[in-house]
Amino acid sequence: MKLLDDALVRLPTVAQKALAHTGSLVVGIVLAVLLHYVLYRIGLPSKPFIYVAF
Amino acid sequence: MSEPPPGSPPQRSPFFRPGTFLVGLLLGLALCSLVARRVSSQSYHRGFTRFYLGISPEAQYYPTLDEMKAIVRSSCRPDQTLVIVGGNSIFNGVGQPPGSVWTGELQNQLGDGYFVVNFAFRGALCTDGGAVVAEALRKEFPRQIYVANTSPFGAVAPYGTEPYRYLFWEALARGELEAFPPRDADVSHFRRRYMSWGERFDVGSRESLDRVLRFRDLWNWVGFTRLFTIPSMMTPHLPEAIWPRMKVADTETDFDTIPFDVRFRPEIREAEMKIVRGFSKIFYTEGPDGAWILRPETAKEYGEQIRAAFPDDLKARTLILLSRNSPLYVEQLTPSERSRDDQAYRDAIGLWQKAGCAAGEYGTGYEVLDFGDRTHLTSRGGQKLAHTVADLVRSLSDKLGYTHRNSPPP
Amino acid sequence: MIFTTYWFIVFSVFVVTVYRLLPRPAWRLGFLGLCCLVFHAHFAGPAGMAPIIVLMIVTYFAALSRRRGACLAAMALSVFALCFYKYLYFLLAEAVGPWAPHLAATLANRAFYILPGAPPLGISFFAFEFLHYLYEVKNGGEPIRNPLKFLLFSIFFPSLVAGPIKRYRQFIPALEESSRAFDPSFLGEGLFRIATGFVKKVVIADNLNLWIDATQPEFASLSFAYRWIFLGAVGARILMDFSGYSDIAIGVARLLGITLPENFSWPYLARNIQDFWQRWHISLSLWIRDYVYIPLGGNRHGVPRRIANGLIAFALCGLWHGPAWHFVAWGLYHGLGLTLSSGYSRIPAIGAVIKQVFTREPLVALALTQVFVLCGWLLFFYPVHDALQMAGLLFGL
Repeated sequence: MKLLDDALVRLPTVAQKALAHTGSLVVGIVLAVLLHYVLYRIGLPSKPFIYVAF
Repeated sequence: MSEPPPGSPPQRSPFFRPGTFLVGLLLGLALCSLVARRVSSQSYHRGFTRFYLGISPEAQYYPTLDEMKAIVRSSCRPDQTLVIVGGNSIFNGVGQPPGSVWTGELQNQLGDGYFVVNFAFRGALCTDGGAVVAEALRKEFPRQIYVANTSPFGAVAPYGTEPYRYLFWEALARGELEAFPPRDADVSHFRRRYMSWGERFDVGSRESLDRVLRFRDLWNWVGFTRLFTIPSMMTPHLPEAIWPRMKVADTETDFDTIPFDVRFRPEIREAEMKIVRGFSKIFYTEGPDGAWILRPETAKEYGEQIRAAFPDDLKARTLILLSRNSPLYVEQLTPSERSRDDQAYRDAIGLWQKAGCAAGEYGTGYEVLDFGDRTHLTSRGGQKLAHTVADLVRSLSDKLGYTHRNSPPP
Repeated sequence: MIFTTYWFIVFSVFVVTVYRLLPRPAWRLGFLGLCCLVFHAHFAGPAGMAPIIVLMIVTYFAALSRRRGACLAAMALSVFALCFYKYLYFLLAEAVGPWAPHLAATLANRAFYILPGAPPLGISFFAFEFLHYLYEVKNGGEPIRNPLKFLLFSIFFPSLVAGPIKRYRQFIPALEESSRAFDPSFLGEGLFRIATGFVKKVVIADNLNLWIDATQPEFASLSFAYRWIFLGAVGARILMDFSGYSDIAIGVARLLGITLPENFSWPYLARNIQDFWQRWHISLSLWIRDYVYIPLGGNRHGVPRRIANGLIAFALCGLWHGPAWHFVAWGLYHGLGLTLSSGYSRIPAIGAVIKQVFTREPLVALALTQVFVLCGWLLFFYPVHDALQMAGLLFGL
């Protein structure tokens, strides 16, 4: 992430802003798809976590 | 005194925009929901015959209500009478290979005036699967008949059984079931008595979230058509574990290919005989004249269960078939035991009819080779079942006032 | 399991949202404390809360007194509670049973009516956190005076179930900071971390779980290569499962603005056993080091004592994971591995060669270390006899 940040700060401000918003939007969408899938998976029967005695 | 290195908070990235991120999150969820609604509005089950093992809960595939409704919508015409088959593995056609499932012959027997769909599941009750779909489609397909099998005095819980109960909760949460006080009371009692507060909350949350986000519809479609992401005991190994389920064939065993001596090995016959001998024993007392009398508490309890099982207008178009055991076992019963069993079938049929359902039985007069084991039918037995059911469906159809074009004469 | 429920997701969203919307720090902490109690009550039940509440009260007042005797007594109570709820049947069967089987059976029978169906939720974690806290206070550390902050340290819901094991000197300042200020980037970081955790747990670990359970009975009939694939899957499963849970815990805490200690740091890139234990379940290994190994004497009393202390520490580390001998065996296995890895250079003739390999050939060192670790998982998951059989089959024996 730091490498990415370091690379991106060299861009013009407008480009930085555009990339920042686009990147944040895309990450949000990706996480939404993942959350959607997780909601499906946790509704199915699954084995309990191994450390049952915790 | 030692301290671990402190976990220093990560540096804030200048390229993360929380507001835009949240917009992306909501947009992503909305998109997933829209795609789910789109894909579940049409059936992706080409040439659907039944929910065989590869596309059933045993293999971690849980058909959704919309999915099953789409199967019906894609094939049943408005001028056809919809015949939904429910019940357990016997009616699912276990032991009958894909080309010889009894419901195929039922469709042939009934002709083009009817559309038959098999929504029976292994281990399901007559209130599971098909029953939920029948009720959910009552307005869209008012001309419908629901056919299911059960055994005399077998469980008839209105909320079904695991692992199929999710369909009932789904239909209930979406308002697709009729309000029916006897069933509502049974369901409330079940929830209070057998579900913890956490389980009730989880079921409720799941259904509420799914009503909006439709995650089950979307990921079922992905799993059926693109990539299945959950290995199951049915498909534990790669690459089958990740094949789209439409690629997993119906490989139901054909009973006719298993030698008789293997299907009816002595140890199996012994165990099954015990079941056959004992199934009606607990429900009956012997009267002074040798007649078998159903225990009043059994009649009352079973009658109440049947009453709460379906709403009255679904009962009116429901045909319940009671499954007989294989003659290989029945013929070993004493006359007294046979007489008791016959009484059990008569009484059970009577109770279903009293509640408002059409009811009958099948299996009497069948031959040993019609059965693959104690209860399941071979392809040959399935053909006979189809004839029996076709007659009863036509009879019920006439009683209900459904008229048909293009139906072959009985 | 707890994290992969709808209740937890809905609860977390509710808690994080309201926490951030409340205008005052005191209100936030009070609300969070209430939510932690609700969380615990929901999963443990009111009866299941009794042990932690009793231990909380005793620990709080013992620490406030700052008396050595009181702290030691409270520590003993925590150890007793842990042994009673988690290890009673094991101790009865293994310590009493061989000498007095009838007595062991009678006591086990009586215990059946006293003990709950499962140990109290999170007992392995909160007992260790209380022990750490009391030890530090006993040795001069400042106690937590604010009862609400102590409550939050004791039953902080993200880390209660499966860690990481917190240190109060990091946690309390982080808690106070989170109640005062919030950086919106925490939202992204927290959600990203939670997402990573769910991918690891739900997508990878749960899937591997099913495959491993289906394949294990056929292990003897698998091909040589497939057996090693199976072993790799076992290793991947436990890492994904456990680190996934830790990620979710750390992510949820991050949403609240609180930083929890990291628990895993690419453990399967370790090139020796010492390195492995600095990357695997970091909060536990540090706890064992600070509160078992060092108090026993550490490496301050010569080589034999150092080895013995290490073995005891690792045996206890193994036993902490569950009341069974194969967990102890796994701990001792790693204890032996650590002893060898820190002392192999002293082995005559081959010591120097081994040292060359481990220092000059990083890939070889990595491979050898990971083979050692992966084989160790057999002891962790299966009874000792089965594990040894499987290990033999892996090496063609």
